[in-house]
Amino acid sequence: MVTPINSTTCSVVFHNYYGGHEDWVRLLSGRITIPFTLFYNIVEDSLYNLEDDHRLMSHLQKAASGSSLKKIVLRRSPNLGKDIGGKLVLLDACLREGVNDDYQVFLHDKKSPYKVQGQQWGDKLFRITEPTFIEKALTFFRGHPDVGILSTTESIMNEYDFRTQSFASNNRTQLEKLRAEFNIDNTDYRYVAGTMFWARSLPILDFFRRHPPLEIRKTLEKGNIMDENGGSITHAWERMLSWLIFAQGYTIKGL
Amino acid sequence: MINRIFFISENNVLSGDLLPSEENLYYSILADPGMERSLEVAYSLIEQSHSPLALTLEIQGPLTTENRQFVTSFLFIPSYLTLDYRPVVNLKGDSPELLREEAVSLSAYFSLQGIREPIIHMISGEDNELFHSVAALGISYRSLLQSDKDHRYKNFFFFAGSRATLNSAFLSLQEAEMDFAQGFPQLYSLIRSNGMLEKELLSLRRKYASIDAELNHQKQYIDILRSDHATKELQDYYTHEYEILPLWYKRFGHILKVLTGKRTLQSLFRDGVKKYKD
Repeated sequence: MVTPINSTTCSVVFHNYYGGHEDWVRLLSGRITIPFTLFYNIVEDSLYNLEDDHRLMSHLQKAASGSSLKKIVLRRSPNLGKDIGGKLVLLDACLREGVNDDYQVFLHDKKSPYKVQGQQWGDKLFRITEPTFIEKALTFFRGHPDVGILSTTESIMNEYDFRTQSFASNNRTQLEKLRAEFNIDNTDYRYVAGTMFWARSLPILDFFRRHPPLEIRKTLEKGNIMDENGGSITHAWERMLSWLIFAQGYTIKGL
Repeated sequence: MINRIFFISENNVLSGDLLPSEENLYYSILADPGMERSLEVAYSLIEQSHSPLALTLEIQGPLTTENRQFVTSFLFIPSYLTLDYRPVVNLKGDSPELLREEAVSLSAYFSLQGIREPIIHMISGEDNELFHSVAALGISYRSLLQSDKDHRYKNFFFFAGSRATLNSAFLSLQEAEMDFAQGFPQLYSLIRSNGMLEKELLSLRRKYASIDAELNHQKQYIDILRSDHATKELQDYYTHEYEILPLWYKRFGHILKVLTGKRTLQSLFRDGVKKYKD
């Protein structure tokens, strides 16, 4: 049965490293017009998050007042697996809380200070929270039941080299290992770079019910892991999050 | 309190009205991983709690992988109890050996999740006594304070079966401590000041570790930016197109700039003047 568009709900899965929590909640509350649950993870050992504010929850609720926000589920976790590790903590919380929203929106406070165009790249990825994008995405999901993930067109990438039959990526070894371990055998190798996208909840939560998020999280690297000079399990999971959608018979699309 | 007091209770005692609040007084919910929905009830209570709560696990047998995952999920809840930035888990049971094994297995799992130094208390006949009687708790606390031993940072565990028992245990401890404060006012005051200074020291150490980590991140970013990114491309272009030319050629180029009106004549001889014409 198709959910009427005015009763569609989503879970926003947001990972924060750089602080500014009230500003983020205010921004999301102003943009997301459908009822949503906010799963919000804070990196507790980040220099930007050292202040231990016991009234943070009430401040966040105040920042979101009058919006479509249904509930905030707050978590604090050590810096492990960068935003992927934080999102896995939040998916674990989502399963434990039994929240069943229609869609999941994966976001984080991306800065990429090691990229010359880092801020512009982050801004482009964040376009998926704009009301016009949300409206288009919801309409597209309704008309295309085979689409499991929607993101901006420019964030969809493909590293597979058909000539060499291998991934042109520093994470090649880790990708091959994870694909075999989780039985992911998609032949469409596109993925959403930056891990910011809209996804149907059903296939995502179904996968993580079978593969507990914390079991995956424990395999990720600690600290500020980068893949510029070598591969990492963390960066491999950036690709895997898109591919697990393919493995369940869905596809991805850029808008 | 100048010692750490843990009141362990079940959901019905801890939920509802505000609990007595005092420095170094902590609350913990008792859950039995072997009992259906016991961990779920504790999870829900801690999630909704406005004050910090720890988990006390009743250990009758080895924990399953699912149990360890579930216990880890508790530690990410902001209202989960931490002391000195370290999460606290109590293990209660009859077998000290089993408690030690489970403490090791939980620590290993937490470590994989980036939680490096959890505080795991083992409560058994051998390791830490669990008081059930208000009178026994009061006598024991009073006797510690009156002894010549180190008076602080000892852990006391009390099982409160009802809110009334919890309140009277609290009053009994307060009374013992007040007597100590009146008997040894200077010592009591120094112990409290020392406690505050140690907290400040821990907070500064934590800040130092975060600054150190952030500094290393920034170094990493600079190295990457200098290695194979756009800035390096620009630097390489400059080196290959200009830097490798002979000095006399570069100097002639500057004279040519003046002759073609691209650069001011004065700037060839002095630094503090306008160099380029717009």
